[in-house]
Amino acid sequence: MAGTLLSLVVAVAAFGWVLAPLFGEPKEISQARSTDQIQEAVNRSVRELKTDLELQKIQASDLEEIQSFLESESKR
Amino acid sequence: MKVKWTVGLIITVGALALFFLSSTGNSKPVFYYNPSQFLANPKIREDRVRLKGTIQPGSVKMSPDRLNLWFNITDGKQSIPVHYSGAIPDAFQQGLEVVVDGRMGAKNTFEGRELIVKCPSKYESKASGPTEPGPKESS
Amino acid sequence: MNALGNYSLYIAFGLSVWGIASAYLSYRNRDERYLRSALHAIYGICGLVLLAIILLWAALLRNDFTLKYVWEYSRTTQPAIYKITALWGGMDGSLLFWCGLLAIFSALAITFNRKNNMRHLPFTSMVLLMTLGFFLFLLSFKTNPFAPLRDSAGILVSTYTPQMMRAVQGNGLNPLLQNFYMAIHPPMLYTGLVGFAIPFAFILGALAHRERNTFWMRSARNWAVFAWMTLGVGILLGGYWAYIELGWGGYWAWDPVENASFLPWVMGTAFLHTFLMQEKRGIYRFWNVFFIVMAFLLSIYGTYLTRSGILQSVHAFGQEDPSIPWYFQLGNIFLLFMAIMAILSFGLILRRRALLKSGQELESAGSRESMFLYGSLLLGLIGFVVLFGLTSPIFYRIVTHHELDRGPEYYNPRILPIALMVLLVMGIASVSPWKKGGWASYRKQLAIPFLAGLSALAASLFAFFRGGQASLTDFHSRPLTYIYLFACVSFSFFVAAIILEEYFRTARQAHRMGRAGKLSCLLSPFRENPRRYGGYIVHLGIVCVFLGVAFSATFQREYQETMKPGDAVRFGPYVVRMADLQHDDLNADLQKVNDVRIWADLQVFRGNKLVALLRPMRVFYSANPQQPTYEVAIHSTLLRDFYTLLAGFDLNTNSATIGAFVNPMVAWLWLGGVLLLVGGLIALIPMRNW
Repeated sequence: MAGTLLSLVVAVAAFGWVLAPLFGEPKEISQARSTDQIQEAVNRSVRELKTDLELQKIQASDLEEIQSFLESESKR
Repeated sequence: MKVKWTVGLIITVGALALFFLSSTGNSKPVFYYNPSQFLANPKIREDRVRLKGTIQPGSVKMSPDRLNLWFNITDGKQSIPVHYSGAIPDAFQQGLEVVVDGRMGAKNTFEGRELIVKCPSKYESKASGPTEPGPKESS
Repeated sequence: MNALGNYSLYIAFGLSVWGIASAYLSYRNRDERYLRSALHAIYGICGLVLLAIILLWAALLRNDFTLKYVWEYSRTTQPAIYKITALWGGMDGSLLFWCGLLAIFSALAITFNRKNNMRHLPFTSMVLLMTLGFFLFLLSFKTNPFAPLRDSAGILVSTYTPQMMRAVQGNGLNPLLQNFYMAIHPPMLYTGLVGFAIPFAFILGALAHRERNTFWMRSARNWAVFAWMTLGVGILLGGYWAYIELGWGGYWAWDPVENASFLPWVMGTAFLHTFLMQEKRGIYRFWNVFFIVMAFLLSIYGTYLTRSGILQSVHAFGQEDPSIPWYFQLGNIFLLFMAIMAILSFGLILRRRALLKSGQELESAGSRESMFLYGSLLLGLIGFVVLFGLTSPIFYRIVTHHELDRGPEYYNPRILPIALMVLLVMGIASVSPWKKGGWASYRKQLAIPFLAGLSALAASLFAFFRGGQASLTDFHSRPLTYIYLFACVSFSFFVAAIILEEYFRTARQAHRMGRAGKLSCLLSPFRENPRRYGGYIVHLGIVCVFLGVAFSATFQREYQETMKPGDAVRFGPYVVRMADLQHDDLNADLQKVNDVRIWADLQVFRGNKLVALLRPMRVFYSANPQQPTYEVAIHSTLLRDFYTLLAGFDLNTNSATIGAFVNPMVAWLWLGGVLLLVGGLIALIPMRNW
């Protein structure tokens, strides 16, 4: 009996908390991009490619090409 | 463009090579049968098959050194006597489901070369609860 | 309290149904309120499922036999630790555990991504909630771990008097599962399998929300590495358990349950590599989505196969009660969920196919990009061969009513050549240049490794011919095996040499450019590029696994001898003297003690030196009084394992039959597993972006 009562309380609390946001002000979902995260990802890729340049795994001209591609992709 | 075709060609040639390499050394497929199916089909009598069924309670005989095992494998309708020699697998127990890999031998006894007992009680409830109300329980 | 546990599952299911609706609404109307409601639903589900798990653990620990699950998988005499691991010992509990992991991961993933990737969360959380909802549906209505126990007369045990209850002892966890490895193997495996759901949900979410920018995918990638690593270690742990516990001297049988865990892993491996390319070059977007979708679908499929009874397997599980209508059968519910997720995934891929085109051409068939493609496609091919082998018996049975067996004889010849090619590509890709191919760039870097591979081949051939006629006879009986063996050895050394050369080149370069000192440059590769060098450690681990498998599979030898105390017999390279055969009190009541043991004390000599004292045992557990289980005793070195078991014993004549395997180089498999773990952890080091 105690278990069932407790369950009822839990059910009300759970649904209450889940439905509560619906009673707020309507707001648009933020479409913001985390530019920091993206820039950091681009930087890391470029850094890795630069070490590959040292190891002669890529030619300098190709590195530049890829770098500008990544920069432009990150702006999309 | 041209590169794409080269890559595609490499992949195709590679795949074909693998396919031919793997087709060599093909052994004849082995099928599962329960005792009724096996006994009903004279064509597969001599084949190497996998018999599946349950260990008939009361039919189990073991040599004193525990290296030779005789039992009947049954599907509830027909049963076949089986002889297996070797290390008896863990969890071997009467009434359990088992698979015997082998072929029919002398004296209508199936000679098993591999014996596999199904792992019960991992996801299957073989147990059915305590027997009767009262201070007794089933195993 | 059990009522609370039971209701928690229903409430969680209810939340998931609402959550799916709310997430979908937020996807359509971009209203943040509906999204927050859906996210709250995920958190709520997490709390409720954790509550249910805690309550089930409590029931197990206090021997609450009013619950069917507790009675089946626990026993009053069961050690406490195995009462805890009984949580995942049976189907209901393991599904609950699975759901709990999924809930925790989902909650963590949405928390970490709430700030940066909110715009993906509507669809992503919908996918997570659909998966949670599926498991919660099963747990609530099909496989509820809080189901009450009825005795054989159909009476509820919860109505028993205290006196009757005291007589109820419990059935007990299968003794095969009462050991350390079976305690940790399921959690590791499930962590890996469930882990793939997170990147799956995020990638579908990004696709649905028309994300053109692929850099956010960092978070998905980290989850994928985590899932891949734990799954890989879990699989090897399973192999290790099979090896030391089951007494057949082997570690992998292509059993459907083994395949079920291997399939998502191999797809995950392919994903990790195509992802690298998408990140750097923006290519292979389709393959990326494809491999992660396959990894997820196959992890669910694997759960289905091991639960539905549709396949013959040593581990195969309950056949469904035929009186249950087809639409409520467990297997079919799984299939329905998989069909829904497959349609969702591939439908989305089709509708957003424009986003998956990269617009970049491959410039050379020998470039790094192409190498990664070959490797990933080969891995995918392995996946499909295994999948075909796994499922074709089902269709075969529907058509011909004959049940086909698929075992090592089917898989090995098909998988081996592909695997060897993967090994080769794995090495070559490490030195492949970006964008351009060209013989010149390879020639310099592959020279030494090529020599290494050639030397290894020469050494193997030398060892082979030293074996004289015996070697030649063996070769003629299985020529292809030897060819694969020689190829494996040469490729392994070739790849290992490449990895080492790469490592030292990078370290030297860091020192030359002034970034590190003479000794500290040895750490530079890991500091500057942990992903790549962690990956290379994983590759070294894979090489170890290849070598271990190649030698142990080709040269395993089996022996069996009956001995009395004092006898000394030769077992291959060892001489074994049985010092004693002893046992516990055989008249002990198995109801009171947990086990009764019989053991042989063996002295193992190599030449004249005593190298090991082994004690193979047989143990009678109360759960199975007729057939004792095996406790094998292994003397393990890097060169070989000497694996002994007490195959038979006759206490009347005081003789024991000792079975033994000599398994060359098995330890390399476990070593490879350790490297996998270490390498994976290093690759995950940049701890940002989850």
